[in-house]
Amino acid sequence: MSTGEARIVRQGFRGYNGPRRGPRSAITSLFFNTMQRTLGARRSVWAKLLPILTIAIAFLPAVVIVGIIALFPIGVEEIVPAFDEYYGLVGISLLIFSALVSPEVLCPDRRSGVISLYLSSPLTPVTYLTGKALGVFAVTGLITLVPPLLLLFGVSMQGAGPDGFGNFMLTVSRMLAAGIILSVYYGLISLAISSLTDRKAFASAGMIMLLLATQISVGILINGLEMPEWLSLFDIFSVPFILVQRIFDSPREYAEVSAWLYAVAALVWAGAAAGVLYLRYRRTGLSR
Amino acid sequence: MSDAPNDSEPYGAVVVTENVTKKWGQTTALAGVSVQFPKGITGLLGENGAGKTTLIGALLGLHRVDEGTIHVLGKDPWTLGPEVRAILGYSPEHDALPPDQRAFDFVRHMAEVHGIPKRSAISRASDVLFLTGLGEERFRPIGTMSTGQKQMVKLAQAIVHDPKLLLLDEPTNGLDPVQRDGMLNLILQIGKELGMDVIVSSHLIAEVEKICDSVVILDSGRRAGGGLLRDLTAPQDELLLEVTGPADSLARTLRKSRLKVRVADGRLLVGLDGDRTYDVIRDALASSSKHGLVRLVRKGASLEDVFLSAGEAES
Repeated sequence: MSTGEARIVRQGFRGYNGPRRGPRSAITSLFFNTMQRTLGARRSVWAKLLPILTIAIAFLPAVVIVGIIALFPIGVEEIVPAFDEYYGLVGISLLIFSALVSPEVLCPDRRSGVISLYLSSPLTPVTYLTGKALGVFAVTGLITLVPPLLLLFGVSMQGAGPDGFGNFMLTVSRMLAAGIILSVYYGLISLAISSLTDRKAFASAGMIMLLLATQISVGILINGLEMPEWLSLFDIFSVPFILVQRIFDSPREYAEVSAWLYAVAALVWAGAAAGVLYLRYRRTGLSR
Repeated sequence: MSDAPNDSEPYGAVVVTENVTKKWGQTTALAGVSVQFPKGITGLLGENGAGKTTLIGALLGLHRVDEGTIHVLGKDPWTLGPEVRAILGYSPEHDALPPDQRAFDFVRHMAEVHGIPKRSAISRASDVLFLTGLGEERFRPIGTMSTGQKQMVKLAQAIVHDPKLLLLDEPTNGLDPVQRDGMLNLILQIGKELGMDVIVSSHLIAEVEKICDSVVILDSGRRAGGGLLRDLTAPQDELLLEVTGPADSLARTLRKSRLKVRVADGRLLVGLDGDRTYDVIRDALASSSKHGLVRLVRKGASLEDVFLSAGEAES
């Protein structure tokens, strides 16, 4: 029953005297906004389609394999791929995401001019890129980290995982390292290419051309013309995957080349991508 | 940390620039601009290419000036950029909104980017969109909105975090007369009722005259004039005299010729005593090697007169 007391529940727009968070809040907000936009949240059905498809491609094999071995626990070893082999499946998803979804992160901000509003906030070009990059890493991390871990936990529950707790933890740490390397590497390269144009289609085409052109060229040079294997360090698409093979201690390609060289090559390519990003944004101001 | 010069305090200036020069390659966008923007609503008036947007960029700490100093709310925006921008609001001249985001989502996001906690950001985003007349449209994608509605979204994102100083760059661009009146009334409401200090960049004199308390006129990257609008346009029998060199010594010379002279903000206000006033001023300037005429205008003129005479003085 009403007490009859009047109470103001809405006072309209007024001044604000509450707490104000610093630039870290700006980065956090941009991080979540980037993740939402990348995943198509609060956007049209079409905007959601590609991210969902990409993530499904990465998750589906792990879910199917875990489902099969849960229902039919016989012959688990024949069904379950080696853990590092699973990254081949992740690679397809990662390529689609990097080429078709990642450009959504930077291109529209420049095309629509929103970048000038961001840079008139507490964000600087560096913190803007930090928030955006962290958002991309988080979503690519969803692709590169979760499905392999799901597979590992699934097969381990069926007694077909690594022997002993120590080996289990070693595999987990290898998966964490592999997932972080792949997500950061591909995230940075896709952002760098996106920074060169404000059209998503051009960024997508550029990404696919860069990755496939270097992979095909290096493949022809090494396998067709029998040139030295160290040329594989210029295969921008494959370098992080070869590094992941080495992390899992199972070199399948270019065994002559040291794992450290692949680590350095991955660092150099990722560093170059970060450099391109910085150079493209350091002088960004109000003008479009 | 840089503090505002003490001499800005008596005027209650929110922005003080001293001899600011900014070049873009061979083009000089700002050439030794020294201005004070007082509290209230100030118009930044100038033709296209006068340097208004460059000055706003410098106030936001986005452009490093080649020479001179800038203080915004007592702080140097170049060295303390994020700190200064957290308490500024900015609405750009050009289209700067994501077409596929809902107005509410975008305004809430910009509130959070400016440091407002999530819960407050949600309620303030709704409230500010109602204030700007978009309450019923707040969940529509911005790309489906009219030009007038988009301008209102730009204004909403600029004030949602309750900035101390609001910078509006050509806020009525692309609006029809009815929408323009609505926007001007809203700016007036923001300045008078919500207590935000506002700098409105515009090349439309009538707009500035309608809503501003004071004005700064830029012409070809130079300060061509300015002051409180009521001083500039009030019907008074006074001449506003702006000169190079020490104003006080010229004031003494004019007083010797029995003219009533007062000095305010480095400018002379000379009581009009028939045509002889002009003759006395002319003779005083002609006989002085220390003074040069920058501007001489009869107070009580319209802002358009002031603007035109400022432009003529520059040329």
